[in-house]
Amino acid sequence: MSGDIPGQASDVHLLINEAKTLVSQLYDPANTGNPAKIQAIQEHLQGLQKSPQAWLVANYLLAEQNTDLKFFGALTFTVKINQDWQHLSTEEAQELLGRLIEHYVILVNGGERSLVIRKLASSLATIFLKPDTPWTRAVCNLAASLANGKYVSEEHCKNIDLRNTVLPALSERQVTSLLYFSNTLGEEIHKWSSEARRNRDDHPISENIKDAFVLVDTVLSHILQQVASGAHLSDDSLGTEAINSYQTWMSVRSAFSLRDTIPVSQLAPTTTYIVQSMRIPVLSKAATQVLVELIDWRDTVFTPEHINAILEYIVCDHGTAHISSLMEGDFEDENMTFLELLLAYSTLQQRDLLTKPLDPQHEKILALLHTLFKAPGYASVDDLASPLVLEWWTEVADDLQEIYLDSEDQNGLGPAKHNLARAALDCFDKLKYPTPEVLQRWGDDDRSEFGAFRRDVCDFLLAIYPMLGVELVQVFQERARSSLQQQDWRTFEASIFCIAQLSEAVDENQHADECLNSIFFCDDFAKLCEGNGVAIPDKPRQTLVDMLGKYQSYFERTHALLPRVLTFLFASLDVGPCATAASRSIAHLCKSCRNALTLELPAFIEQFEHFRFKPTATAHTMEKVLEGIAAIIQTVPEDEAKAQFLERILRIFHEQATAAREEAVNGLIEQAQSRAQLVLRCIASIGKGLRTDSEINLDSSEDKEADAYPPTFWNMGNGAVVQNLIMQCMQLLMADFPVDVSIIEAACDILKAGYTERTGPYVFPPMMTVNFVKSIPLGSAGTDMVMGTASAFLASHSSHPQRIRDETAALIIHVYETFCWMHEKPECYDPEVANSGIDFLTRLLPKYHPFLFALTSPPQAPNPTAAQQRPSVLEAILNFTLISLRGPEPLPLRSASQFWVSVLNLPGDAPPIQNAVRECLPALCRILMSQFAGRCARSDLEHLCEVFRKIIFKQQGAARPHLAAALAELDVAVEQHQRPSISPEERQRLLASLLAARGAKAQTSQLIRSFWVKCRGAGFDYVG
Amino acid sequence: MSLCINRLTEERKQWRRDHPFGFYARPHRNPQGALDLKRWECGIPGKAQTLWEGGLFKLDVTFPDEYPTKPPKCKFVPPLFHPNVYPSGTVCLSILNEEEAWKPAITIKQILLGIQDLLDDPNPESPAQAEAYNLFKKDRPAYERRVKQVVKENPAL
Repeated sequence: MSGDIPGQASDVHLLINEAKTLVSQLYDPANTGNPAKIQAIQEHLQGLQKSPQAWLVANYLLAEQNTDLKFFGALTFTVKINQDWQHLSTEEAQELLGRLIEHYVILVNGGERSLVIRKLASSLATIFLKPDTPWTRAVCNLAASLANGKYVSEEHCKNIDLRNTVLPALSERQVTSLLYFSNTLGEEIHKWSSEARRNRDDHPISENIKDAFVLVDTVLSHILQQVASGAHLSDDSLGTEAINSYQTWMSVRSAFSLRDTIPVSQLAPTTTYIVQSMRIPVLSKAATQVLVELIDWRDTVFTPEHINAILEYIVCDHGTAHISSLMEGDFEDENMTFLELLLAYSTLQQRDLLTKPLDPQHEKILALLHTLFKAPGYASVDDLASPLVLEWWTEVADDLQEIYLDSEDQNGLGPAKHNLARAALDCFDKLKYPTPEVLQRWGDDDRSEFGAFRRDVCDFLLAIYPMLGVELVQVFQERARSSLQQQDWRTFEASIFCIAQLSEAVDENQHADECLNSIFFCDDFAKLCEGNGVAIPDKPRQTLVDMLGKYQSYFERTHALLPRVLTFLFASLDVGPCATAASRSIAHLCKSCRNALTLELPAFIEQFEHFRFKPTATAHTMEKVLEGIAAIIQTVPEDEAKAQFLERILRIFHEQATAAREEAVNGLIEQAQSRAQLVLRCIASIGKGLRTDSEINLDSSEDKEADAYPPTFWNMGNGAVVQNLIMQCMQLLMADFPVDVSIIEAACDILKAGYTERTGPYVFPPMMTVNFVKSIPLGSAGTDMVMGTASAFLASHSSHPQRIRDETAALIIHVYETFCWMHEKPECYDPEVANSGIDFLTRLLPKYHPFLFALTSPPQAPNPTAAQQRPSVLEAILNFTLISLRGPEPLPLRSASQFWVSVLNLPGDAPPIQNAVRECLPALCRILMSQFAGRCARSDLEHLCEVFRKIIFKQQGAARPHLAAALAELDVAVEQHQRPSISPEERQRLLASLLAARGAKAQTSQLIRSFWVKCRGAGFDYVG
Repeated sequence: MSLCINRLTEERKQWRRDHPFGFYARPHRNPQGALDLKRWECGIPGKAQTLWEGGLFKLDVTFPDEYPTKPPKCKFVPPLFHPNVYPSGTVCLSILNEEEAWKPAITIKQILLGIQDLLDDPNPESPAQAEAYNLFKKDRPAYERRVKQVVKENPAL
C-alpha cells in the first residue's frame, strides 16, 4: 500500500481514469435499462478493486468531487481490506487507518452526503474487526480526530475525556457522523457475535461500548434539554441515530455478556432519556420500538422508575391519542408501534392485570385491551390491531391455565375468568363472516388471512375453556338460538362456528349436552332442517354442516335428533361448498347410529335417488352417501328385505355400467372411464357399508378341509340376483374395457369388501379373486393394488389355508409366470410387477409357506415346450428375489429384503426350507457384501442390513465361509467403479467385528455404513 | 426450561412474527385446553402454478426430547398420496433425517417450505410408498389426475 511510486504513477492514473469512466457509466441513466451492460461494468470494476493498485485508486477516488466516485472509493477500501489485510505490515495497517480517518474528517467537514460517510464508516469498522487491528478505542479516537480537524493517533488521546472535552467541541454534523460510525461498528460487532466470536474474546469491544453509550447519553440529554427549553425539534436525524445506536449497543451488550462491564445503574440515565423521547413526536416511534424490543427480551435494564414512566406515557394523552386513531381505523405505523408497547407492557403485568384489584392507571390499560377488539373493519384484512390483541389474550390464557389448573391457590380466578369471558365476547363480532358482496372484493390473500384469524380465535376459545367451562358454550348457544329465531345469519354462523371449535373439548364428555339440546331441539332448528319456511344462506349452512360433523358423539347419544339432522344433511348435498362435508357426516352418522335409523331407510334411499342427478353428485359424495345407506340396510333383519333394497340401488348402477360400455364402444373413452369409476366406486362403498360391525372370529375350530364357499341365500337363494348384479357390473367394466388405474382400484375394493364377511352379496367364489388377478395385463398401473388384494384374500382364509390350496397355488404360479416373463424379456421388466409380486410372496410366507416350498417343479402349462425350458416354480421365484436384491430399483430391492428376512424367520427344521436356504446362502452373502462395498444406494443399506442381521442370527455358522469368500472376491466384483481399495486386513477386521456384534442393530448398521462410506470414498459422508 | 422447549418457544415467536403466506403452524392443544409445544399442527399449501395449487395439506410435526439435536418427525394427516410420503403419512426428506442433512439450525419455516417444494418435485431416488411412486414413474397422466383429486379433497379455503 506504500505511497506513490513515480514509476507506477502513470499506470495508476490510467486505472483511475478507467475507474472514473466505469463508475460514471454505471450510474448513467442511459444504461439502467441494460442489465447485461451493467453487469459487465460491475464485473470489470470488481476486477479493478482486487488489483494490486486498488489501494491507490481508492485513495484518489475518495478525494474526488463526484459523490459516486467517492462512494466507490470507500467501497474499494472495504473490499481491499477484506482481501489483503493479512499482507499488511503493522506500520502499513497503522498508515491505512490514519489515512481513512483523515478522509473521514475531511469528508464530514466538507459537508459530504451521508451515503458516502456511512460507506466509509463501514470501511473503518472493517478495520476494527480484523485480527491484530491497530485500533482499540475506535469511537473515542474518531471523535478526537473530528474535534482536532485531522487524524490524531491513539497514543495522543489516551487521557482525554470524551464526555466533557471532546464531544462538547464537536458540531452537530460531526456528532451525527460519529453516530453513523458508532452504529455501524455496533452492528458489525453484533453480526460477528454469531460467527467468529469464540476466538475474539480479547478484542477491544468493552472499551468501545462504554464510549458508545457516553455518546448516546450526551446526544439525547442535549436534545431533551433543548426541547425542555421550548425549542422546536424539526430534524429527527440526530435523535433517531442516537436511539438506534442505543439499541444496537444494547444488542452487543447482551450478545457478548457485557452486562457487568456496563451495569444497569450506569445505563439508567440513558434509558430514562429513551423513555422520555417517546414524548417527542419526531422521535416517538423510534424510541417506542426500542423499548418494545427490550421489554420483549425481558431485559433487566429497566428500573421500577422506568416501568412507571412507561405506564404513565401509555395512559397519558399522547398515548391514548394513538388508541383513538386505531379506533377510527387508522392503522398507521405510529399507532401500531404504540399498540405493541401497550401489549409489551401488559405482558409484563399480565397476571396482576387479570387477577388483582387495580389502580386507576392499570384499570385503564385493561379497559384498552378489551376495547381494542372494537376497531373498525375485518380482522387481518382491514383491522391490523385485533390479531395482535388476540395473540396477547391467548398467551395470557395459557399462562393463567398454568397457574390455576394444577394449583390449590385459586386466588384471583374470579376476575381472571370474568376478563377472559369478556375478551371472548369482545372478539365475537370480529368473527362474523363478510357478506357475499364484501367477499367478492377480497383476493385470495384476504380470505386466507381472515381464515387464519378465525382459526386463532378457535385457539383462544380452546385455551380459555378449561377455566370457563360450559358457561362458554352457553354464551354461544344463546346467541345461536336468538339469531336463528331472528334469522340473523351472520351472528348465527359465528356462534355455530365457535360451538364447532369447542367440540374438541366437549363432544366426548357430556358437559355441554344441555346447551346443545337447547339449540337442536328448538322449533326453529326443526323448521330449518325441514326447509320449512327457513332459507339459510350457503355460508352458515356450510358452517352448520361442518359443526354437525364435529359433534358426532353427541348425535350418537341423541338419537331423537338424527332424522332431522340427516334430513338437513341430505338437503345440503345439493349445495356446492357443503356437499363433501355433508356426505362425510351422512356416512359417519348412518354408520355409527345404523340401528336407530332402520325405519328411515326408504326416505333416505328416496333422497339419494333425487340427489344422484344433481351436479354435486360426484363419485366422492355418492360413495359416502351410499356407504351410509348400506350401513342401515345391514341392520334390516330379513335377508329378503335387504336384498330388495340392494337390488333397487344396484339396478341403477347396472344401467350406468351398460351405458359406460356403450360409450366405450362409441369411442368416448374418457367419459366411459369416468362413468365406470363412479359405478365401481359406488358399488365398492356399498360393500364397505354392508360390513357387519361385529368382529368376526377367524380362528374358529371348524373343519379345516370344509368347503371354502358353502351355499347361502346370497349365492344360491333369492339374494343371488344382487350378487349377480355386482358380478355383471364388474364383468361389463373390466373385460374388453379401457381399464385404468382407478377402475382397477375400485374393483379391488369390491372384492375386498367381502373378505371379512362370513356371508353376504359381496362374498364371492374364491376363484373370482384368482381370475381377477390373472386378468390384469402385465404392466398395467395398479398392479400393486391387485396383488395387495390377492394378499388380503389369503389373509381372510388364514385360519384354514387348506381350503384354498388350489387358489393359492394358482396365484403363486401367476406370480412365477410374470417373473419368468420379465426374466426372459428384460425389456418387459416392470419394477411395480416385481415389487408387488415379491411383496405378495412375503405376505403369504407365515401361513402358506408349505404351498410355496412344495412347488419344486415347473407348472403344467398349456404350452409344454415353453414350460420345459423354465426352472421349477420355487427356484425361479427365489432366483428372481436374489436378482432384485442386487438390482438398481429401490422398491423391488426393499421387498426382496423383506422376503428374505421372512424366509430366514421360517421354522428351520422343515427340509424343503432348509434345502432352499442352503442353496441360496452363498449367493445371498455375495450379493450383500458387494452391495455393502459401496454398490447400493445409501437408502438401501438399512433394508439389506436387516437381511444380513437375520443371516447372523439364524445361519451364522453356515454363512461364515461364504461371507469371508464374498469379501475376498470384492476386488473383482466391485473394483471398476471404486476408488479407494480396502486391504485384506481391513476386510477380515470387518467380518470379525460384524460377527462380534452378533446382529445387534445399531452396531451392525454402524459398521456397515462406515464400510460403505469407506468404499465409496469420503466425499459421500454427510458433513455438518 | 429444557433446550427443546426453549427453542420451540422461540420458533413459535419467530413464526408469529414472520411466516410464509398460506401456511399455518401452531402447537397442539389437547382436549383439556393445554398446549403441547412438542406437537405442532401445520398446514402446507400447494405451490402456485403447480398441480398442487389450491390444496392445503395437514401435517403433524412431533419434536423429540432431543430436538434440535434430533429432527422432528413430520407426518401428513391423513397420509398423503406422494412418492416420498410413507403409507403412514411420514415424510421422507433428507433434511428431516438425522443421518442425512438435518442440522439444528433448520427452522420450522424452512422445514415446511422444504416439504412444500417436495410436493411438486418428488425425489424418485427414495420412494416411500409404492402407489404414488409407481404411478409417478409409469403413468404420469394418471398420477396427475390422482394429485388433482387429492387437491380437491383438501381445499385451501
